[in-house]
Amino acid sequence: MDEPIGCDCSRRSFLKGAGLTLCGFSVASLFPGPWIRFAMGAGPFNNKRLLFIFLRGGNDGLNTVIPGGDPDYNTLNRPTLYIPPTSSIDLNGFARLHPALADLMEIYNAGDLAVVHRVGFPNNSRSHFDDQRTWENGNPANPKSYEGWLYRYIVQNSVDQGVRLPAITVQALPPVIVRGDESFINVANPDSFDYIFPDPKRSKFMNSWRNIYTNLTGLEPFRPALTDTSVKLIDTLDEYRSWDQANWDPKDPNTGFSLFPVSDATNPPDPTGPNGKKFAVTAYPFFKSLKVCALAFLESDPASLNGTRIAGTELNGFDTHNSQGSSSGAQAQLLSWLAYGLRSLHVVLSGAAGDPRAYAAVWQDTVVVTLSEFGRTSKENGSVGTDHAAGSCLFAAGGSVNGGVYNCDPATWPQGVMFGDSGRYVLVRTDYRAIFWEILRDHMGAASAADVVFPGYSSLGLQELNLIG
Amino acid sequence: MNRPRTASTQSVLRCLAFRLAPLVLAPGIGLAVAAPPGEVTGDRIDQASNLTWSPAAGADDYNVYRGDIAWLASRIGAECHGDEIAGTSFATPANPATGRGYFYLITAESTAAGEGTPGNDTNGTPRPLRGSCDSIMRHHYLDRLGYGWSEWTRDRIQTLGIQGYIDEQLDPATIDESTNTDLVTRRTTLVPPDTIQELQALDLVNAVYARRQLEQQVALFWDNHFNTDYPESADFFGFYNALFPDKQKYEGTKFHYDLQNSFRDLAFNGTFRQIVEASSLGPGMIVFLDTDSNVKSAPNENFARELMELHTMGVDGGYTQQDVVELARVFTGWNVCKKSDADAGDPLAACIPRNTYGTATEPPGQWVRNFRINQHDTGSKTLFAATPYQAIIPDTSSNPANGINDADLALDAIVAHPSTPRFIAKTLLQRFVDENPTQAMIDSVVAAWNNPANPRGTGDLREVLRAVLATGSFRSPDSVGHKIKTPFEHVASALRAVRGKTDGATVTRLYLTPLQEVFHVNPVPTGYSELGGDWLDTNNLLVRQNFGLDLGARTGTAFGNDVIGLLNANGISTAPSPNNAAAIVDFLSGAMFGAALTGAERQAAIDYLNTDDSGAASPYNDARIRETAGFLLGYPQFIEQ
Repeated sequence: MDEPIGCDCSRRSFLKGAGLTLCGFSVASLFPGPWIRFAMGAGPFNNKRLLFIFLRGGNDGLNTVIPGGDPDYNTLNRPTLYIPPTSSIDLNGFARLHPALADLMEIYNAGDLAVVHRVGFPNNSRSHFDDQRTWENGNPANPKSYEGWLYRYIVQNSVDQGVRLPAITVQALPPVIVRGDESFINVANPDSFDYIFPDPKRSKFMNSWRNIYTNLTGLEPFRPALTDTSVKLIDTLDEYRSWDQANWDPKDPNTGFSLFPVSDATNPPDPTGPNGKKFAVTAYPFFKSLKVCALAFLESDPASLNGTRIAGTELNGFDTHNSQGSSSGAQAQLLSWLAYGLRSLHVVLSGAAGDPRAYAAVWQDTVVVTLSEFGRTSKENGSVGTDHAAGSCLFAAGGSVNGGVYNCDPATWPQGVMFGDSGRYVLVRTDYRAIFWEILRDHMGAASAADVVFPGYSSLGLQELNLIG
Repeated sequence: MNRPRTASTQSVLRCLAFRLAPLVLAPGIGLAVAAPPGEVTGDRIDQASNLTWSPAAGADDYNVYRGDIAWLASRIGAECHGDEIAGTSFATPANPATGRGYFYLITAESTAAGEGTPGNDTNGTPRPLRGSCDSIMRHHYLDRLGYGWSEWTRDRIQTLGIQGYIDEQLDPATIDESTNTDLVTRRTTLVPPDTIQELQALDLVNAVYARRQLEQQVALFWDNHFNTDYPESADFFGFYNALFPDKQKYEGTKFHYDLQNSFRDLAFNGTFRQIVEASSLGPGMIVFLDTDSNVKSAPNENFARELMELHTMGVDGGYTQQDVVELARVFTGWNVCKKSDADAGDPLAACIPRNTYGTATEPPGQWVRNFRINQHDTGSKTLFAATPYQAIIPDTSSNPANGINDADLALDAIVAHPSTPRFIAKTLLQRFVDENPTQAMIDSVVAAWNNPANPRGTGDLREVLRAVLATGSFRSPDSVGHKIKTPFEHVASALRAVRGKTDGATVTRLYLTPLQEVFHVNPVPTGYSELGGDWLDTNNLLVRQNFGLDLGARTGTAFGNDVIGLLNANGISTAPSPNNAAAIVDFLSGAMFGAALTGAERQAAIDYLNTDDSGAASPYNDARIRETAGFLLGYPQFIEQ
C-alpha cells in the first residue's frame, strides 16, 4: 500500500471507526490519505446544518437589542447613540430591536429566531485578536490556540467521514473556528474559484500538481497542510463549478427582488438609498458570501455525497470607536445587511424563493448563528462611538430554534446589568460555549462529549437556555 | 560492498536513528587534481545523537543531509541538515517521532572544487539529495532577508559570501542603487506617490527590483507592525473632495508614504523609542486610531489600547484596563492640522485656519501633528501603578503647555517596560526566523536591545535586527522551508525568479487583492499576519498557482516574465533541439527554490516541458518553457521559505 507520506492522518475518530488499537506506529504509515477516507464509509446520514456569521470588530449589543426597560439605557449614558422606543421595534415589552433589523421580524414572528443577550465569557481581554480567537477556539483558558471548536466537532463526530465537502467557509482568510490539522475549503473569491486555463491544459497541470502534492514528503512543518489543502482544492473545483453560483439569483417571491444583492443589477431599487439602490456597493461581498454558503447547503443533497453541514462567513466593520451612529449610521448600515441576509437565508433555505432551480427545503434542518468577539462600552465615548467591552448579543435562527428573547426581560435584566461588569460593561449571563454546545448537541446531533469540543465544559456548570426544540 | 543496514522490526517501534555503512571508494584513481572530495566514510552516531565521520582528503568542510527512513524505499532524497561543518562531528539532538527513524548522509566539500559525492546506493546509482546544502542555504537567506533570488543577488553573494552579504544588507546606505535601471526607471513615475495605488505599486517595485532587499523587508515590516489604513486618511481630507479630489488622494497617501519613509530610515539609523514616536504621533496614526477625537472631556481609548497591545508590550505585556484609561488621557489634545512650512515642526504653532481648507486660496504648508493645549487633560497620570515600572506623569495645570511632554514621558515608560523589548524581539523573530521562537532566542535579541555598546543606545534597531539574523536558528538548515511566504513575498519572489517585469499596480490589483494582502488599506490595527497557518488555505493556494500560471503566460512590461532571456543569459539553451529540458528545469528550479526537489518532482517538470497539453510527447518551444516556469512556481517548495 502506498505510504501517504507527509499526511498527518491521525484522526482519533477514524481510529475508533476502524476498531484498531495501535501503539507506537504512526497512523500515517498504515492508512491512506484523507481523500481516500471518503471510500471507507461513515455513520448514518445526518443532514443537520450550521451556518455561522462572525461580526468582526465587536458589535455593540446594547444598540442592536436595546434593553428598553432598563432605566440606565438613556440619553445621559448615550447622548447621541440613544435609540428611542419610537425608532425601534418592540420584541417583548422590554427588549427592542434596532430599526435596521426590521427584516428579522419575519423570522421572529415565525417563531424561528432566538435573540440572545448578555453573551460572552469571563475575563475577556478586550483585544480583537485574542477575543475573536477565543470565540473561535472555544477555550478561554488558552486564547492563543489556533484550533477551532467547530473543527473539533467535525472530527470528533465524523462529520468529514465518507463525504466530499463537509465544511466550506467563504471569507478572506481561513477562520480559526474550523482550523486544525485537517483543512477545509475556503473560498475567498467566489467568482474566480478555479484555475485560469481551460482543459486540456488545466488537466495537465492540475493532475501533475495533485500528484506532486499527494506524494509530498519532507520534514518541513507545513507539508501535511500543503498536501491536504492542494488535494482538497483540486477535488472540489469541479463540484464548485457545477453550482454555477454566478448565474444563481433566487428572488423574493413577493417583490421579485434578488435575495442576494451582489451587483448593481441585483441590488433592489430604493429612492432613499445610495445611488437609488437599497445597498451600498460595499455590501456586495457579504451577500455573495452568504449566497455561496446557502448554495453549498442546497447543493448538498443525499445523492451528491457532499455532506456539507458547516458553512460560514464574516462581516467586518463593527469596531465603532468613532461615529457609530444610532438608528442610522455605520452600525445601522451593517445591521441592515445582516438582517436582509438572514431573511434571505430564511426564504431561500425554506424553498420559498422564486428560483427555477427549485432546491429542496433545508430550513428545518438548519441553524444560522452570529458571533462577535465582545460588546461595547455602555457609556458613549468622546467620539460619538463606543470602546471595547464584554457581553454582547447574538442571533440564532432556524427551523428547530425555540424563538424568542433570552436574557433581556425584567427577570433576566434587572437594573445594574448595563454597568454590572467593572462599572463599564454589560454583565455576561450566558457563556457563549453553552449556546454553541446546545446547538451542536440538540440540533446537530453531536454524539461526542462536550469536553472534547469545549475543553472543560462539563466542570463549568454553565447554564443552558434550551434554544433548540 | 556494504548494504545499508535496516532497523529490526522491534527497533522500528522506538525512536531510532541508524547509520548507513557507505560504499568505500578508492580515492584518487583516475581523478583529476581539482575534483571534489570523494565519498565520506566512517560515519556513525552515538546515543547522545552526535554524528561523527572520518576526514575526507581535500575537504574544507562537510555537509550533513537527513531523511526519514521511510524515504529510502522510494529513493526520495535527503534534505540539508548541517551546512559547511568545519570539523568531523555534528550534534543532531532532534528526535524523530514515534515509529519513525532518520538516516544521515555526509558529503565533503572543497572551496575550490565544490561538493563531493554522497556515494552510490546498493544498485550503483548516486544516493539522492534534495538540492545541495549550498544552494538550499543560499536560497534560504535570500528568501528570508529579502524577496528571494535574482541574478544580481546571486552574483553579490558570490562576491561577498553569505556573511558579507548580510552585513552589507544591514547597511543599506552603502548599497548603490543609482545604476539599478530596473528600479530607477520605475521609481520616476511612482515617487512621490500621488495615489495609494501608486504607493502600493512602489512597495512591490521596491521589493522586486531593489538591491536593498533587507531594507525593503524591514520598512514593510514596521509599516505593517504600525498598521494604518488609507481610507481613513482619505476621509480626513474629505474637504478637498469637491474642488481638489487629486489633492485629497495625494495628501491622504502622503500620510502613509511619510510614515513608511520614517520607518525605513529609523529601522537602520534609530531606536525603537524613536520609531514608536514616529508612528504614534505620525498624522496617519493620529487619524487612524482616533487620537484626533481623543479629548479631555471625552477620551477615546482606541489608540491607547493598541499602542500597548499591538505596538509595544503585547496583549500579555502586563498592562491593565486602568493603564489604557490613563494612557488615553496622556494623548488627549493631539490632532492633525495644516501649518506653514516654517511652523511644520512645532506642534504648538498655530494652524492654518480651517476655513481655507479646500479653497482656491488655501496657503501653502504641510499637514502635521498638532497639540491643542485646551483639549489636553492636565491632571496627573499614573502608568503601571504599583509595579516596578510605575511612571507618574505630573500634573501640568499650572503650565498647560507642558502637557505636550506627557506623550514623551508615557512613551519613555512604555519602551522601558521589559515587556516591550520581549514583544518586539518575538515579533521580529517570527518575521525572519521562526514562528515559535524559543525563550533563548528572544533573550538573545533582548540582550542586543539592551547592549550598552549599541551605537544608538537602547533599542538600536539595526543592532536588534543584526541579533535576530545572528540567531542559530536563522543559520540552521533545519529552518529552511519552515515558514510560508506571505502573499506579497510570494508574488515578489516569483517576479524576481523569472526576470519578471512589473509596474507594481497590475499585480497588486489582479493578484494581491484576491490573495488578501494589499498594504495600507487594512482596516484592522493588527496588520497582516506573519504566520503561515493564517494564510495557507484553498483560496491562497489556488490564487498563488494561478498567479504563477499567468506570470508564465505573459511577457508584457506591466506584468510578464523574461524566462527565455534569463535562461539564455545564463548559458542555458532554449532551442528545441537538442532537447535541453533537464538543464532548463534545473536552472529554473534552482532560481526558484534552490532545486530542493525529489527525483520524481524534478521529472514531473521535465515531463511537463516535453509534452503538449494532452500529455503527448512533443518538442517544446518558448511558450512552453515559460509555461513550465509557471508550473514550477506552483510547487509546494515555492510557497515555503
